[in-house]
Amino acid sequence: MKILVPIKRVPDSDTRIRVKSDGSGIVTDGVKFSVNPFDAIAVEQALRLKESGAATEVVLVSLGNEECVESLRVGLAMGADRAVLVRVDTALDSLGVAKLLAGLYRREQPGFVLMGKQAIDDDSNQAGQMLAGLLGIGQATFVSKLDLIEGGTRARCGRETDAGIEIVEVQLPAVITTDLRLNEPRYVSLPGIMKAKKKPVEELPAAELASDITPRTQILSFEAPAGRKAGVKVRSVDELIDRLKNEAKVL
Amino acid sequence: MTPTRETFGNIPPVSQWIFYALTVASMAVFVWGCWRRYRLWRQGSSIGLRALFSGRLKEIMPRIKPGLRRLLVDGLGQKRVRDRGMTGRAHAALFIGFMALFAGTTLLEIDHLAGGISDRFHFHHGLYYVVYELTLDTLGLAFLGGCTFFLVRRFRLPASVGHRKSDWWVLGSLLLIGITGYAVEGLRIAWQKPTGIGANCSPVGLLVSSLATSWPEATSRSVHLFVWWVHSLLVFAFIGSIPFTRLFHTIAGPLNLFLANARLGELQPVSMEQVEKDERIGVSNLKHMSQQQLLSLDACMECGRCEEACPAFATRKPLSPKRVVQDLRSLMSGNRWEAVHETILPETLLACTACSACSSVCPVRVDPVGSILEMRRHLVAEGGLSGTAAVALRRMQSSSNPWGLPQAERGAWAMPASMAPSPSASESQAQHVAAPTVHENPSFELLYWVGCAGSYDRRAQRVTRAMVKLLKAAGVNFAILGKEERCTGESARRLGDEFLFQELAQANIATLSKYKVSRIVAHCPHCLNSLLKDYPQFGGHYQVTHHTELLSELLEQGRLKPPTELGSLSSDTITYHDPCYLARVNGIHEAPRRTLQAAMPAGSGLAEMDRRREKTSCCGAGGGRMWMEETPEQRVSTQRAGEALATGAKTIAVSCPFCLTMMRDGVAARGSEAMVKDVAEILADRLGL
Repeated sequence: MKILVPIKRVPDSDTRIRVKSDGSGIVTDGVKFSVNPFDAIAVEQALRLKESGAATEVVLVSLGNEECVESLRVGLAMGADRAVLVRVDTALDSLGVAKLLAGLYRREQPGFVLMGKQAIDDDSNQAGQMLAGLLGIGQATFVSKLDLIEGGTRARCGRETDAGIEIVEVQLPAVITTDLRLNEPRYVSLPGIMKAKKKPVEELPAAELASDITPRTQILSFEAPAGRKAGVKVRSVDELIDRLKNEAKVL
Repeated sequence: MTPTRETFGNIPPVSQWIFYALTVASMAVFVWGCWRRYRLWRQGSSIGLRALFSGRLKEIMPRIKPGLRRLLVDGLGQKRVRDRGMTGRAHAALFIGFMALFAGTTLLEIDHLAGGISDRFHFHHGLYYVVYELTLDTLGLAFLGGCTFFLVRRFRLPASVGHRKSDWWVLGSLLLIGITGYAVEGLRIAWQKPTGIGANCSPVGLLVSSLATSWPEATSRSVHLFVWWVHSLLVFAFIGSIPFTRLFHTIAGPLNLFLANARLGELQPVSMEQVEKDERIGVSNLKHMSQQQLLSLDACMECGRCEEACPAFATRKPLSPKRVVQDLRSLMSGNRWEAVHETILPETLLACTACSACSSVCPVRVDPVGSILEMRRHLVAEGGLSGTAAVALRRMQSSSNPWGLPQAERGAWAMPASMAPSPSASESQAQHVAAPTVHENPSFELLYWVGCAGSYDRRAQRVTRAMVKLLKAAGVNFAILGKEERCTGESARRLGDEFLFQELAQANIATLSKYKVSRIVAHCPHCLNSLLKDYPQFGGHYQVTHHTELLSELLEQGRLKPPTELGSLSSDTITYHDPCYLARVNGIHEAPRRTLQAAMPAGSGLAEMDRRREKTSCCGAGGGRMWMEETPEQRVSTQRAGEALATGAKTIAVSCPFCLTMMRDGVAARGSEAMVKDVAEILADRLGL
């Protein structure tokens, strides 16, 4: 069984993000980019399924310009078999992403799609759901536990919800989106990336996969969150209670 | 009559011929057995043995001198063997006895052969004979004593000592050879009936002969011949069995002592070109190990010193250095060269704290930590690392420090964080303790290497502030790199990511060259070891001192003067925990003690732990373990903190930011309120800084 894993190139989670002065976006100079952590979890899970014999091939896909190849190499270094770069030079919204992935899905015919529940840059959390909708297949989102059952025809998924872990079963093919606690992705070092350079990365023009990827949403502006104000040290519990009552008015 | 005895006296010529034939046969078995092992060692990567011995003697000598020294001190001197109470002494006794008897037998044979050429060449008589007999007769007792001790010990086998069935033969044959040796001597005295000094120079033999005084000479002679044959056959069987039993350590051990050249805390660099050529890094096949490393596997005697010293083993993690060596050895013996990572599991390799205790106690200098770290390199390159340690490495990649904090905040230590709980009133009132950067003080003499912990870890920042205050008080002309300092990469290298380390090292070396740095003081032993032993491999040569060495020097020079009155000085007992990479790996253990002594009331001493100085025990943070999670019951820090608290100390002094974190955790886990402080903090407190 083939698993298709879409990965997105996002600013590294340890990078301090600054917003451009005109609010049109973030400053990308000197920002280190890496694979969206949720997508790395999806790659890891796909590889574990392959290592356990449940899957035979792990195919990665990234949408964007040639810089995304770097992210694909990381996934290949982790152990994925091959990668596809869908060449897109314009801005994409979640629907555009879902349409392109749907196009690729039809070409690749994978056993299922495993992807991060959201990207840590725009935090939209919609691409997976839209993809399942466009393809008319099932979906299991926020998955923190994943087992293939009944000979790989169904997946039993533990979903993290506010009320606790919800166990659902989904008929494959389906779109499964991964949550933080599904696994801890393996570390990739330089020799691994060097080795991965021999693995194939196919490039496809976006037009071959979807006809209209014009964004349906528009970003008006970016704003940095307000800085945190310094805290106050209180001398006693009484003073704390007093301040909570009279200043913060939370008691 | 000059005291002497006839070689092969009472042994008929036919017996002598059979004796020589068996000698040749047993030697042949011995050589064949050794050859079989040698062929296995040859499969490893070359160690340039030819180059070692090429050229003139004057050129060879400096190359082989360290090896010869190890042979003398560790081999003949049994330096590391002796360090184990009664067992060590018993081995020394057995060893001395064996060597004396071995040398004696060899001399006897030389005399016999020399005498065969001409009677004039005989030297086995007179004073020589008396000294010879007396020495061998006495040392034979040491030999027997040693054998008996080990036989008795083997019945109540200590957990760490390995056991094979053949061990009964090894010790049994040694003991019987000793006993029959005395019997042969006693019976010889019984029929030869020497008198005076000729008899008295063999006191034990004489005593044995007294059992046979009433025997007719013919009986003595025939029993003598019989026991002589038993003795000889035992010796032949013994010689032949050496390469097939644990006795082989007597061959592989000295060879390894001569060839093992690994210095503690040093790893072999690998270049990217090499990785591209080999298409791998580290060890995945035993043949990737060096010939000497393969030989060292055969030198292992399973004495278990490494296992007893291992902090991972002590906390029930799936690692025993002895097991690792023995597992690799059985792979080599079974021709299963490729099965390294099937046999040595990832959790075993990752459990190692690289504290080097195993390698430092091994009497024959097997280097388990070196092999483990080389296997780890391969494991990590193959994606065998995940979790918190992987996060730390990714952060070292992206932010040049394992905390993932911005490089711009490297100077945050200068200001006590207002949100952080303050340990004392004086600290909270502390002003900005800025240190000059290399730009602000371009004429600096000493570079203070703050390190990542000293820069970013809230607790370790206080050590940095204490150090800066002390340096300023002593008028040291110093500077820091500030935002240009990066992680040394030490954790990355020991975790197995050689190229992340090299990237960081090369960046740091470039920065240090830019500012023409030659002298560095570091308060982190891991930074110190990396700057001292890793960086020269990439062209960075510096004079690196630990802050405790510098402080002790400043105290000695009177540039720092502790007040004579007690003042606010607490008279609480202090114990000192030696960091592995300071005390064991780099031999620095006096300076921190001298510094502490200066900060303590006159006449009071440190409450020392049993495991200290080179024999210190790890806090659990070395080898990149700082960045890994441990289950509460497997925490090395809890164990070590227990040892520290058992001294009754109210303050545990440390001199490493990792130890600081770990010991604090350990003390807290034990529910104790003891303070954990860096030596610099204790001294700064004493000086009222």
